[in-house]
Amino acid sequence: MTNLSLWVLVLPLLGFIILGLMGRFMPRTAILTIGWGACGLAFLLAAVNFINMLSTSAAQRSNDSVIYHWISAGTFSLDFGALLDPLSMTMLLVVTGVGLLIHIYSAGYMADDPGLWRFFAYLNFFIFAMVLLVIADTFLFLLVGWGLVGLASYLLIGFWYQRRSAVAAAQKAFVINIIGDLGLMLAIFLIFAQSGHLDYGSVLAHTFSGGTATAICLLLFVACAAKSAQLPLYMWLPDAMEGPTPVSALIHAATMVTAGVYLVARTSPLFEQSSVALAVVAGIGGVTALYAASIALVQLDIKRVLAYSTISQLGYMFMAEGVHNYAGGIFHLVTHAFFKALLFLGAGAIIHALGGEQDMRKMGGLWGRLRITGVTFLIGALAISGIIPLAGFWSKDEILGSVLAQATASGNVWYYVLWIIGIVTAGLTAFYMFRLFFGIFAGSYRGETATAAEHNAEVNEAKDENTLVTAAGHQHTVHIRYSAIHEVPRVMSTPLIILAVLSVVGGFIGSLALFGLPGWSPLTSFLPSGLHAHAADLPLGLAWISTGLSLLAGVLGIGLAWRFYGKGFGYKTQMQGNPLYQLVFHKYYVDEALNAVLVTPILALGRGLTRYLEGDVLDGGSRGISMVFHGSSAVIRRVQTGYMRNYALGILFGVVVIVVYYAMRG
Amino acid sequence: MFFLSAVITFPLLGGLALLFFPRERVTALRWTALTLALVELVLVIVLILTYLQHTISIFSSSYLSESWSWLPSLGINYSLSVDGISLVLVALTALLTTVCIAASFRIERKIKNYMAFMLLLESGMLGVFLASNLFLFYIFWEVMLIPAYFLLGTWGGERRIYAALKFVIYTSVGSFLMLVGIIALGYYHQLAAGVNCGYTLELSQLLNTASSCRGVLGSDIQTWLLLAFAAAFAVKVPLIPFHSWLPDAYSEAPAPVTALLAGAMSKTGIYGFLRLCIPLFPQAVQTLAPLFNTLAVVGILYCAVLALTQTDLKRLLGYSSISHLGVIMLGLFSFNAQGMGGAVLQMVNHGITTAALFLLAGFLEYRTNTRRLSDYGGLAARIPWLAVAMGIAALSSLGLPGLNGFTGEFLSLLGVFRSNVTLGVLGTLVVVPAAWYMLRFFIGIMWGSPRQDGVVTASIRKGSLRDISWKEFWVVAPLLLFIFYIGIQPAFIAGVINPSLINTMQVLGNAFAR
Repeated sequence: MTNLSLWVLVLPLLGFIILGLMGRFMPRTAILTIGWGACGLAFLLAAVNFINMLSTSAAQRSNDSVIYHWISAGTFSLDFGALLDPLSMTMLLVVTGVGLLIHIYSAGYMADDPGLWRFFAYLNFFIFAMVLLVIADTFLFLLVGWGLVGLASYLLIGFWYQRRSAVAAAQKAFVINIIGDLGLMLAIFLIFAQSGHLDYGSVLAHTFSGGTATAICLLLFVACAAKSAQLPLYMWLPDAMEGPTPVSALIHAATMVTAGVYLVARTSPLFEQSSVALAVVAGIGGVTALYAASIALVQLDIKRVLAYSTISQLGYMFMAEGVHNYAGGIFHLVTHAFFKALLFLGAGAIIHALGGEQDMRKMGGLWGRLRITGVTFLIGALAISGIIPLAGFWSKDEILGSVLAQATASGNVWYYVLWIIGIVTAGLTAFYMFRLFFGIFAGSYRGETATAAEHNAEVNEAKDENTLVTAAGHQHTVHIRYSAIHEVPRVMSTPLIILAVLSVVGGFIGSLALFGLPGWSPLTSFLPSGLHAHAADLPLGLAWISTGLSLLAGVLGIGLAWRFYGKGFGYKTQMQGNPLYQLVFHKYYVDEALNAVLVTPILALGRGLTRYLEGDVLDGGSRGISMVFHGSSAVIRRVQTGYMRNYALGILFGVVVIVVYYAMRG
Repeated sequence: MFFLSAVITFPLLGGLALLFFPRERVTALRWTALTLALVELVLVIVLILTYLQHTISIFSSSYLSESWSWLPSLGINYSLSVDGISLVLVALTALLTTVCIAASFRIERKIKNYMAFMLLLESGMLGVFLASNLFLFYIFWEVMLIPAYFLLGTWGGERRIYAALKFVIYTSVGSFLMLVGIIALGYYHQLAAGVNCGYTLELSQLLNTASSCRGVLGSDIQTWLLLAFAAAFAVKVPLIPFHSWLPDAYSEAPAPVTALLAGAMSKTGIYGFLRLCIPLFPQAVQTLAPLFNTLAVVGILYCAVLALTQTDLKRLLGYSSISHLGVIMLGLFSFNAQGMGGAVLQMVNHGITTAALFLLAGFLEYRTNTRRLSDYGGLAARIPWLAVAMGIAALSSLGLPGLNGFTGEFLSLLGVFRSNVTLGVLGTLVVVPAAWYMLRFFIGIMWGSPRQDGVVTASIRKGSLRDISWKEFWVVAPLLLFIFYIGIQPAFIAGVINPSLINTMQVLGNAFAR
């Protein structure tokens, strides 16, 4: 089998270098040619390689080619190599494919931004870094890719770098991701110390002692939790919505945040050695899914709803992996990439059409104006709500089924709890998605009726933050009349349509066992057998129960949303008095708590140490010592009078002392 | 052969020759100094090529070593030699001196003396890295101090006198103890080896395990001697709590001098630990390793927390520099191939990255006349290329995988983790505050909303806030190039370092080759 992954890696890098150095001076068409071209060719090569892979026998579908020798020190020797196997192939196709659609869409979304060249340079850089992460064949280069996607994410969140909120969000995202990198580094140290290798081949075949395996897996999962925004390291993702919306779609929904899911799947032989670590993965996944969904229920910013939804859906993927069904996690990763990218791009289209408005309270009635966006958004919402036969139904169903299978196989009551959490979250998902959908599209347009007071408050806020903004963008919310709202240009609607189609049919790459086709499961049989072989089987009857309940939960959620918001989104002011509402609305006050418990004390410590220990003690100490010398020399100097008689007196005194001393000694 | 002598003395002689130049020919003086530094760089490149042809170690009889009798009765010889470790540090010194002299064209006052002192400083550092007689090492060690003192005291900022005095007092107390240690070492060595063997300060003889005149020092003596040597080196690195001179010196010295001090001179301290302390006192080093490790790890975290809250750009970089040097110290005292190899590699990386950061901060200070972080903000739109350069240097410093800082720190910490898990974990923790303060540094200057008032805005109005000039670009370009090169392909430099390291460390006699 050929391995073209090096070219898939190099092309976006070249695009980044060219755009980064010369993009500033390029016309728009040149920027788009290079930006789209780099990503498009990468996708093309990946697709060609995929077809080539399908034509080879399953045993030969893995190719690990060494590119160059990186370093050696003692027994530590490391090459950089590109590993292409069905798992990395799947990821490559998602990354470059969805990436290409978002590249195309961005040309419309970012059309008016003077930093267009910078945007495409960063996007190409991100594709490069993500491809590196996926095709690395050692833990070290995984870490390199891991760090570089973090940098890409940082640069893109902070794309409008003169907005204070964007800068703060970028910094937060980077620092929290560094905590993940720290976990990954320590995991790598432990792996090398115990096995003496860092390449996947040797490490994944190595049997670690029980405690070590658990420690390694938990450290790896710290990295996954940071990158994939799981509890307790999820805080950066909602803030990351400060970046341009295509970035939210590409990095913070479809690809980068799924790196953690990829890593667990990649290292599944290690996780299989530690049932404790797997239980943690499943538990964190489940709790995160429910927790994030609850916050999404009350958010007013449409991108924030989607951000919490992403966190929640990533939780589902980890749930699947925690019950040995890694292939199920990857399946949901793929379908989620389709419908979540679709939803984000749809949200972007709405924001674009409304001149930067993101607040659901000022939307409504857009179904009449934004027909393509509306229909595709509806498809995305149905898909994520798990409505048959859309993509989300199949993958979510697979996950819930394998959790129930694990529960019945192990008899452990906690897996039943996890399964119920999954069902409840499915209902919540449907509810908040359709709250969002009705809020945007149903009822009548509320943008024009925004009260004068509200408007003024916003203008003042804008004055505070962005007065000297030179980089344009969607900083200033322009209130647009209903009749002036227009559907987005073709360059933006085409990716929406493609993604909508994928969100409809994407699920059919999964298993159709439920519908009498037990032999049909293209994705699972494509992926290595280790990714699903350890999962428990579920009797068909129970599978139907699980499916029926999750479908029921989805329909119920949509129904409730229709009941409350079907005629238009009314912001319930009386709920503001409800403490529970306040708690959820303020995201459980986690950010505030973190600031109070961690950030403020560390900074206070630094200031205190600078002032007292560095200043008074160390600097003061050395001053003190010099004062002692200074003072004593001032005293001693007096002895040196320059008068012969004083010295003679001194000599006489000395002689007397010596004589007396010897006389006393006898 | 005189080649090593030529490498050491060329800058010194060049500097002396500069003094005969007419004072008012400022431009000619600058370019001559730069040419001298460049010629020296070429000499060093020739040295590297020669070395690579005759891969040799410091202890074997070698093509690239020289020795002249000086005061044989006192064991004092003029002897030099080079191995892979000293070679990369010599190369670093020559590169940084060239870059820093090129960055000093803006110095207006007494340019002749300034350039002469820079070249003298280079000679001193090269001598330290190449000397293989302890007394000669001491002489070069002191030679470094003089130009550093004058560069700091004459061309520094407002509090330069205070900073220079503090620097000199700290360093000379340390070097005095080292001198005592050197003399005592010769004495105890002779005592242990037997009267017939003579008094020697020659490194090769002190370490020659095959010789009949081998004196094995008792562990008590080793400990005291180690402490005496370590006093000098710990101040120079610096290890906490001997670092109090550094924030003052680094912030008061002109940027190119700071870059040279932080980039190259701080490495002489670590080099001392590696080249002298570890092989000469192997037992004591292992006994006292917990002490050095503790100081290093406390310093790493302590200085990282301090760097988080500094309001002065150069002080922030100074504390960051100490924090990162702590990682090198930890790697050194892990006594395994990854830790020590990573430490030497990281000496080079730290030199390049720190110098780049201080130089870029200097470019900025030149434009705005302020070092206060709070005066800055939102400059990326005005000076985009300077922002890119500073961003690259900052990312290298915080250890972004793929850039040079990562390779060295990763290897060092891997070695530390293998020898002591607790230290490994504590040392690795620093990546979090390191990212935090470097982003605070970068974001504070380049991102965020621009300020409406203050000195920086004033310099924008005056039009003096320009993007990086071509001259400035060529000054930092080599450093940025190495940031990428060593990050992507560290095998070459590691290949130069590692064989010599294994030679040196066989003295330790434990499983170094792991």
